[in-house]
Formats: sequence, C-alpha cells, structure tokens
Amino acid sequence: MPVLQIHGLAKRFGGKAAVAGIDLEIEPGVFYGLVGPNGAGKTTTIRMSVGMLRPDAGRVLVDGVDLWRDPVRAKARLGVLPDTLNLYERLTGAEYVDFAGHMQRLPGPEVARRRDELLGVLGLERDAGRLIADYSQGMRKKVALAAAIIHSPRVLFLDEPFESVDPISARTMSEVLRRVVAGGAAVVMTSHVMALVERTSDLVGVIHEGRLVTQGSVEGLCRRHGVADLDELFYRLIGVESLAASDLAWLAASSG
Amino acid sequence: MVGRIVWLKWRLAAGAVARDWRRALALVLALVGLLPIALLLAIGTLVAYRRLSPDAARELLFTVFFTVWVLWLLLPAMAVSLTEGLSPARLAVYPVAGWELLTGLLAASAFGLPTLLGGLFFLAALAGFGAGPLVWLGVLLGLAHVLVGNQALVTLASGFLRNRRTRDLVALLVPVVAASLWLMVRFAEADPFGGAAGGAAAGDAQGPGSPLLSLGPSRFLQFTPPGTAARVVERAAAADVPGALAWALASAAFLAASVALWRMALRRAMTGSPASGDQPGPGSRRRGLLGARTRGVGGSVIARGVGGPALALAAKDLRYAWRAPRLRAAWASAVVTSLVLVAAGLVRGRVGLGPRELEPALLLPTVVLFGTLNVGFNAFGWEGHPLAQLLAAPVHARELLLGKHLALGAVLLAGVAGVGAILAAVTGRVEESLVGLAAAPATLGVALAVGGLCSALLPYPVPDDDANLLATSERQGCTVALFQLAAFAVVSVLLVPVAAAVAWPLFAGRAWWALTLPLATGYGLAAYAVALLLAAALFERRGPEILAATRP
Repeated sequence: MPVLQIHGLAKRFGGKAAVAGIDLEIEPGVFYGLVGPNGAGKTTTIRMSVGMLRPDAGRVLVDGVDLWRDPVRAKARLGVLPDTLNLYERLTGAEYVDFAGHMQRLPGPEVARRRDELLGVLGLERDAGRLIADYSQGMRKKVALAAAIIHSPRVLFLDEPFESVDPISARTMSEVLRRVVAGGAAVVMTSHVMALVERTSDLVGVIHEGRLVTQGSVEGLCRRHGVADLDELFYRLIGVESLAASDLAWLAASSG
Repeated sequence: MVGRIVWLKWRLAAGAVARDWRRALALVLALVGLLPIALLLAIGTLVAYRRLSPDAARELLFTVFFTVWVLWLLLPAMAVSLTEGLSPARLAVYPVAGWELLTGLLAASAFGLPTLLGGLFFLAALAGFGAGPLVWLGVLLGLAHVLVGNQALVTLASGFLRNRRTRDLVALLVPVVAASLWLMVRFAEADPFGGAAGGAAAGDAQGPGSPLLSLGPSRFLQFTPPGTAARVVERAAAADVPGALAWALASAAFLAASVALWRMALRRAMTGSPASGDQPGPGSRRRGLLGARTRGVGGSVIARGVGGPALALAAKDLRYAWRAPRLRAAWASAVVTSLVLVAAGLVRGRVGLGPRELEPALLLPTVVLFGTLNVGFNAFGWEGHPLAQLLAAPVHARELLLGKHLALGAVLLAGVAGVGAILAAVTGRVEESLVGLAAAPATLGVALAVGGLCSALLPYPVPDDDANLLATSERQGCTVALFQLAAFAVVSVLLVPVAAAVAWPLFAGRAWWALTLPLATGYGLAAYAVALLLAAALFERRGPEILAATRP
C-alpha cells in the first residue's frame, strides 16, 4: 500500500494556478525526487501535503490517514524539512531537537536518547549547546533534519535540503537519508541539482506549470525519452531557448 | 555621484511609500503628529532664547544642542534599519570615491524626517540669537555634528549593533529610555527643587534660583562636539568675534575628527567581514554535548519535567522570553512600566488608580492586564516563521494555546509577585498588596481568554527584525488597532466582576475577601476554559490561514 497518496491536489493564487491537479502515489522505502523550474509548484505541493497550505481541491493520505480530516494523526507520520529554515533561532541545537521530539509526543528519555544520537551522527555534538542563530547554513540544515526525523516519520518531505550545504555536510545528510529510506519510510525531495536527484532518487517526477508532466525511474525515463541523463531530460521536457550568436555582442568588448 | 546617492535614498523611500498605502498613511500621520510638536517645541525655545536672561538663554542653548545631538546618536541603537536600503556595503561594488560616498550619504541623510524635525531647533537658535554670519556658522556646525555623528556611529557600530548579543542589551535600552523620559517629566512636575524646573521655557528661569542656571550645563557641555558649536553661537551673540572664531576652530576640529572616524569606519564596513557575534567563532566550539545538556536541555527544571507538547512549548516560550530581543523588550517594558508606576506613586504620593486605599490591590491586576496585551493578544504572530513547525506537528490547537499561556502566565505572575513585594515594602499596605496578588490569576484568566480568541481571530505578523525592536508589520494596520481597542473594551467589561470582588469588601467588610477572591479566581478560570475551547476550534479550522496571516 502506498505510504503517500495525493489525489487531484490543486491550488490557485489569484487567477494563476500554482498547482493544477497533481496525482502521486509513493510506496514505502522509496526516495522520490521532485524536480521542476522555479515557480513550477514544487514548494506549493509540499506545503499542501504537510498541512501548511490549504488546497483548493484534492486529498492527501499519509499512511492511509487523510491529512485534512485527521491532521493530528497524519502529522504524527510526517516529517518536514522546509526550504526556508524557519527554525527557533534562540534555542540551542540540542534544545531544538529536544523540543521537536516532545512535540511529536515521544517519551522524555527516548527524546534524549535519539537527540544525542542524531546530533552525534550529524556531527553537531560539539555545537549542541550553541544557539541556532550562531549556526552556519549547513549546521542549520542538519539540525533541521534531525528535528524532522526524530520521530521516525513514515513520509519525509525535504524542500531543497542540500542548498547552501557544503559537500561534507551533504554527504552526511545523504547517508542519514539513505538510512531513513532503508527503514521503510518514503522520502520526497525537491532539488534544482539534477545530478544529486539522479544519484539519490529511486523515482523522479518532473513538475511544470503546476502539473506532473512525467514520472518514473531515471533510467526508464531517459530510455523512454531517448536522452542520456536527467539534465537533458529536464531541458527537453521544460524547453530552454539558447542565445543567438548576435545576442549581447557588446559583451565581447571591455567597458573599462 | 553624490546626486545619484541622494536620488537612491529618495527612490527607496518613495518606493516604500508607494508600495504600501499604510506606510504613506504612517508618514502623513508622523508629519501631522510629530511636526507640530517639534515646531511648537522649537518655537518655545526661540521664545525662551529671546525672553530669558543671556545666562539662562546660553544654558538652554547648550542643553538643546546637546539633547538633539544625543537623541540622534541614540537613534541607530534603537533602530538600525533607519538607514536600511542605503547601506554603504551595497555600494561597495561600484566605482565610488570615498569622498563621494561620504558627501552622498551625508546629503542623503539631510533629506530625512529626523533631520527636518531636528533642524527646526537649529533654525530656532538661528532666529533666537540673531542671524549674524558667525551665528550661522555656529548653527551649521551644530547641524553638521548631528548629521556626521549619527552617520559615523551608524557605520562604526553597524556590525556591533547587528551583533545578536548587543541587540540583547539594546532590548533593555528602549523601555529604560522611555521610562526615564516619563520619570523626568513626573519628577519635574513634582518640583523637587522647589523652583521652576519645568518652566524654563516659559521664562521662569531668569531668577538666580533657576535650577537650569544653577546647574550650569554649559560648563561641561562646551567640551562636547555640539557644545563647541553652541559656544560659537553664544560668543557670536555676545559680539565676541575672536572667541567665536576660536570656538569655531575647535568645533571644526571635532568635525574633522568625526569625518575621519566615519571614513575609516566606512572603509571597514564596505570591505570587512559580517558581524562577528552572529558567526561561529573558534571559542564557541569549546562546549561539548555535556555542556549542552547542562546549560540547554537538562539545565531547565521545567524542561526536565516536560512530558507533552504543551509543556514543551511552554518551556520553549520561557526560554524565548529571555533570549528573543523583541520579547525581552516587551517584558522589560511591562516590568519597567510597573516599577515606574510604583516609583511615580512614591514621588507623587499616589498613582491615581482607584480609591487610595485600594491602589495596591488594583495596581497588580492592572500590571497583569497590560502584560498580556502585547504578547497574549497575538500569540501566533509572536511565534513568527517557526509557526509553520507547530502547524506541521501532531498537536491539538488547545495544547498549543495552553503551552503558550502557561509560559505567559508564569512570567507575568512571577513579575507581579516581585512588583507586589516591592509595593508592600514601600507602601506598607501588605494586606492590599496580597489582595492584588490574589486577584492576579483571575485577571490573567480573563485577559488570556480574550487574548486567545483574538490570537485566532485576527493574528498579525510581528517583524522578525532583532535590529529594530520598534518595527511594526506593514499588515499591522488600522483594522488591527481597532480590533485590539474593541478587545480591550471587552476585557474591561469582563473584568468588572473581578474588580468588584476586590473593591466591594472595602465597604462591606474586609473579611468578605475570603469569599470574593476565590469566586473571582473561579470566574477567571471558567472564562479561560470556555475561551480556550473556542479559540482552539478556530485555530484548527483556520491553521493555514493563520500561518499565512502571521508570516513576517
């Protein structure tokens, strides 16, 4: 049974359709990469799928629980790492992860155990007592990830998780995410970095103008569209215009 | 290039106003509200310069020049973002010479509302002391000190002021300055010198007993930058040309030093690293996980006992009550206001709140009421961006509200207990102070009941700007103000039974307090319980909309 089911999800802002009816089903243990250009509707889809934005139409079932009918039960099965890291800057890293654990109704000793283990694995143990306001971007992403997975969610949403993250932190985070997937959870990740999506994802969905234009395994999609990699597939599906030779010709001469 | 920088400042200001009618309205209101006040004050000083004895006029001139200068230096500490949009660092990528930048920024700063308001006082000095060439020179030097001093301090301290730890300290500055001004007024009204401290501008300071004259601030202030300029004006008015020129030289030297300092700071600000306090430092890595446990999670008694979301949220809010500058400023304001009320009561004999014998009993619930207004009536707005996390957590809305109210109640009741103890000690009215303390939970219950409903019905964003503690959101407009006024009226009506429970025994017999106060507490708790359920239902229905409404 799919652990995440999205049916006919739609949202309009003013006259513009940000998400125009998305259907998606993801099985447990699947790493799903959602790619698309800026403004395609990726973040709106995620925000509606985790209860932060009310959809105009559609349903979201998390592990069989309707998110908008029984939000408390559904959210207990969800983990979220949003693109804009809205963290509690004035808590220390340890306090923040601790807070997240308690908000997920985990018992106190279990929260402490998981917190220490997560901070250790993510290389944050030495900075656990510092305020998040003093963290670097990579550290902020890592502590946010720790808070998002402390309750071992069934579905984990990650919006641009590796943006502004150094390669070492990215590698650590990737390892943790692989462990999450191996544990039977589904991970849904958006990213602009095609190579990263290609490397990490079992399935990929391409979203454009609020619609899911195609989805499948990277190999299958490349074969179907006759392209070499995800980069090329993306350009083919979305369409890019190259500069003509005469455009910006004045750049050839120095202005100084 | 100078013209371009002035244009940039103008466009940024005009763009901000054109984009949002509320800003335009705020600007008009500021002009309508502040300009007449500044104008009246400036005219008052002008009249005083002309009517006072030369000695008294001199002292007033020094005081005015120095006060305007100090206020302009304090501005960046209270609101760095006054110069936002024209940050020199943003101009660093362009081929702009240092002198062009200095002149441009100075010229741009001359076209602001603060300069207009402050400039009125310099115009008054010009008119008051006869607009001779040397008086002109002195007044221009005074104005230059204000503008250069402000810009130099903003640039020099920009990193320092944006440093989180500095902002933590500055959070206390705002209420303390506000309270000091208020206390000064009360002190002057109390006429502690037995003279005419408050009547200097009205011409009472001419006599030998005038406090301003006897204090003789010019003796000290003449060694400050604005003091040298004031001395130029005063010497010029006394027809002492050599003296005026000598002081003008001293003033120009001060100005040159300020400009040099500013230029140095500007160079550093444009090419230096960001504020160090917000960056991880080598020393900050010293504390290990054990340290985190001690100071962080395990360090708090409340956190140790946390078992559910409501308590976890309360523990978080209690930490935030001290760590978040805006919240701390809000709390500091409430505490300082309470203490000022007590202090004013001591200076003037009484506060002026209800019958004299009931003042302590009524003062403490009043402190509770005003303490809840800021944070309690916009609980979700104060949460800021991280509200999204609370919405994503599997938590019932009643738990969220309860957690937030637990923290708010704990802070307020602890503060009121402290104020009550001080009040009892200084007034000797122990029984009435205890009655006030006993009425505090009932007041808290009623205030939070209405506050919780307001938080769910009309939430508004609280700007997430630690650098400007006075910043308000563009969406915090007239509707919110009117709604809050209405809410305050509702709270006042709902508090009538509590007030009656406190006041009635005074006439019927003080023993009745043993019955009326528990009844009042029950009433407050019942009101809170009903409102909590209603507010929680509202939040559960409107969660995403509240999130959108409160996004800073």
